[in-house]
Amino acid sequence: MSENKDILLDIKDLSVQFNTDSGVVKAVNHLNLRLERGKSLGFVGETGAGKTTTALSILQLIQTPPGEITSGEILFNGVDVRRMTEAEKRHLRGGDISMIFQDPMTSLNPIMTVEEQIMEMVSLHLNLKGEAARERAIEMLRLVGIRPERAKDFPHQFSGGMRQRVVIAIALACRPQLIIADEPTTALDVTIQAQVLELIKKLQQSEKTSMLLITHDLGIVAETCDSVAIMYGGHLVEYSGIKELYTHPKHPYTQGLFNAVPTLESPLGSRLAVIPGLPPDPTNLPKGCSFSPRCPYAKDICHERACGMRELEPGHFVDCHFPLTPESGNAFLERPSKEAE
Amino acid sequence: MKVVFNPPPYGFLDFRDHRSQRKGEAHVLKYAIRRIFILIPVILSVMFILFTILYFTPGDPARIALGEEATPETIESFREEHGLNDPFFVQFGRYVYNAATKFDLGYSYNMKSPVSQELAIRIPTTMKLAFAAVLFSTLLGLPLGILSAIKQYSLLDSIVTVFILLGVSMPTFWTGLLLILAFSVKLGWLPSMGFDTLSEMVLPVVTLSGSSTALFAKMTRSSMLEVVKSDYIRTARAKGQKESIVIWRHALPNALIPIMTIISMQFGALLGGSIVTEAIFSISGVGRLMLEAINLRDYPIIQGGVLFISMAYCFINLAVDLLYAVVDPRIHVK
Amino acid sequence: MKNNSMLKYTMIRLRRNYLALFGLFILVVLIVCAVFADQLAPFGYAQQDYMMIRKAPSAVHWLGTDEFGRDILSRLIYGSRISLQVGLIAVSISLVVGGLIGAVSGYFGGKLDNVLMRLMDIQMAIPTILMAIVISSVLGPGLFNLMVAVGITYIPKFARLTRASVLSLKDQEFIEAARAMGASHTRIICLYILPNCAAPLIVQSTLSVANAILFAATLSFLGLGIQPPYPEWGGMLSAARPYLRNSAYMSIFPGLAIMFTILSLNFLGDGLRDALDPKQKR
Repeated sequence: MSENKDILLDIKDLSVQFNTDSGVVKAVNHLNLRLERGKSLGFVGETGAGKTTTALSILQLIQTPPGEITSGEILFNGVDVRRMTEAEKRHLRGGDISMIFQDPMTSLNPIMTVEEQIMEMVSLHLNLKGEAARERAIEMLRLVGIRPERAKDFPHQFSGGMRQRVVIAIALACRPQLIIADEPTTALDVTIQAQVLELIKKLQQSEKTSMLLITHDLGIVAETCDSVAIMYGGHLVEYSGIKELYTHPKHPYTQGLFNAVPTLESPLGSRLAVIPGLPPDPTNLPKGCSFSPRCPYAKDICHERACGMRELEPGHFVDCHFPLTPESGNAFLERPSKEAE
Repeated sequence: MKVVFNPPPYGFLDFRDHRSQRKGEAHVLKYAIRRIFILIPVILSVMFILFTILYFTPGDPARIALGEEATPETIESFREEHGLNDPFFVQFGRYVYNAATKFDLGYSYNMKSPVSQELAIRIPTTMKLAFAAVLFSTLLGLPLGILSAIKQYSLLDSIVTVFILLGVSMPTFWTGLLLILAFSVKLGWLPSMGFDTLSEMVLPVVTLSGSSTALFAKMTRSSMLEVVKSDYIRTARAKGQKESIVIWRHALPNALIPIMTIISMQFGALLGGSIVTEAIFSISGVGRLMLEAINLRDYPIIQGGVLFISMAYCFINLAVDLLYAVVDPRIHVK
Repeated sequence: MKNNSMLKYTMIRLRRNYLALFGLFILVVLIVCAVFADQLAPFGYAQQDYMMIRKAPSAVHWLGTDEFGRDILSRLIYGSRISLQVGLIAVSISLVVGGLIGAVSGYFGGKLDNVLMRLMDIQMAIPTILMAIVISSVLGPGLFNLMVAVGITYIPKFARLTRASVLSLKDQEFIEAARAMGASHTRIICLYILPNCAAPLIVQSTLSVANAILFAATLSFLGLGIQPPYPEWGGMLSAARPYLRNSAYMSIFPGLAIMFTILSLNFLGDGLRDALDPKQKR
């Protein structure tokens, strides 16, 4: 099918759990996700929703023990990553799929110069050594806006934003097909956030790389992504293109997320809307829809069984028995906030 | 496109290529000189404390030197002769002056010879013992710690953990006795006295290194375990790097940096511990000299010996700190 | 109220650590031996029997006799009294003096801090055994002097630990709030700062008791601590040296006693450290 050639990443029914002393943590539950070549997907959810775990699973970097992939396939260019040999996986990491991690302060080896760190990446996948590798490293540094004179500096000599640029340089050094950016700007100041995001977007477009952007910030997603996947309690609850999601969100959780972002248009003196309750305990997920305990629209069937993703409109999937329509209103705002725990 | 660097003038560490360029090893030299200067007041203070403690100890040095039968006149003339009637600070000043300019640390009446001479004869032995012990502990302890961290939960890890626990809990003198019991008395393989031949050196060195080896293994193991959990190790794996390189070239150098300080601190403990080892194996080193001196109330020797050992300890610490500054690029050497 | 729940929480976490429990058990055995030595020991510690010199372990003398015909088991039991005393009192001295120095130094900072820390540095320049030897030789032999000597050598360690804790707490807002309420410095130090330093100090104290006992044994072995006929374990080993060839058991049992004591205290200390560390999730 012609569709297959365009699908770079196809995650099918992925489940990941962690076996800890306090119980089995079900981090990811039957996740299905697709990413087309050249596009960028925003992966949104609260902390602990399972986003980073999904990302690490794609790269097969989950620590086993205590982690364990209990089911699913992760198809990259049609090949199941889980079945790859160790050598193939190493080739995949950095060569085909790169990851930008969250905290730039600790992601870089403190006793290697930034140049050496990029050179390592380059020599692993592009077979460049010595001078050639160094030239490529300096070229990458220049690409992210770092002067070549600083190539032999150590990470601690850079600020947070600069370090993240170095991380980006490392990630892009071998022209991967897919970049997974795990909350790349969360640890940075707001002003630097904008710069770094701008850089990521620019590079992604110029290099035509696909991107999986993990974040909890809907604003960032709106600016950089083509489509969005909303994750809750370890599985997807909504997936659609950007415009569609922002104009017609169909899952109650999505609506709650949008509500929680204060805008300049909110009337003065109004309370911040919250989604009442707390995220589910991953060792003890609720029966039925995982959002049902907090959902203002929940009916009995929601507490009984989950719905499963349904394609309501072309390209717009929702996992809900009663997806929102324009007539549904906004139950979060009508609810008095004091019910929030 | 060619990139041009302007290298600063090279210093004594120019065998390190670009790192020297970036950090400016001239700074390290200045740091070293500064630290040595700071050491001087410390040494003076140690001298002062020792001098003061022993000055105020009951017992007249003159009487000790001349014996019980000495007459008051001989005692008084002795005191005059050796300046024992001078005020405290004059005596102290004289002591410091002699020590600094002539390496004269006083005279031992029991041994009838200068303190420095008695020390000088024995220092090489003790130093050999201590260095051999440090070397042995490092060569054995570090690999054990590293391997048990890499292969956590394996049989090796369990064995090493047990070894660590025992090594840290067994007193050095008991280890010595047990080793003598096993290898000298029962098996007859190794001698139990002296320190001149290689076979004589084996048991003392092993005894002295016992607890240090266990300590190094323990610290290395926990340092490795902690480093392996770091984010930058995860980054290295995400780059597609081989696991062996991740461990040996990324994790290990980072893990070993704090171990250096531990090794240097342990040297001081070993210098002190040599007293026990020398006592058990009848080795004529500084430690045994101290023991005899204490039993005989030979204060000049005690003073000189403790001073020497403290100074050695300080200098070793300084050397390791400098090494630290060279090795860890995060250390700001202003 | 808060202290109660923290204690309970610590106890729960400690209970899961089998090594620590083992350590605690041994410690309790030791304490029982020390307190009830008179009842438990089959013979007196100085009771000599010239008919039974250096007899190997037997039904009467479970661990054998020493060179004066004294029962080794009894001497070990009485020895626990000495070891525990030395350990506890020496560490108490270090804890109180060192803790005070560290707290004052960290809290007030400035010149006082500089001076005090310089003093600690100077003391740390002299290896501990030597320090203890010098102090011992000045004070003379004896149990009390031994305790003081060992206690003094550990002061810098506790001072540094306390100072580090105080420094990290000093700038926190609850201290500022207390000062705004008009609390005096003494009150702040005693009621706010010291309780929060408790955790690392407890751990260090436990480990230091182990070290102190080891230390005291070493000093006694060298003839500098407790004089015969007191049954200090280190001293017993020293006396056993000449008889290594024929009466090896004399060298083994006191060493085992020392080893188990220190082992158990180390287990307990490590267990406490894991249990009290809020960052450890288990």
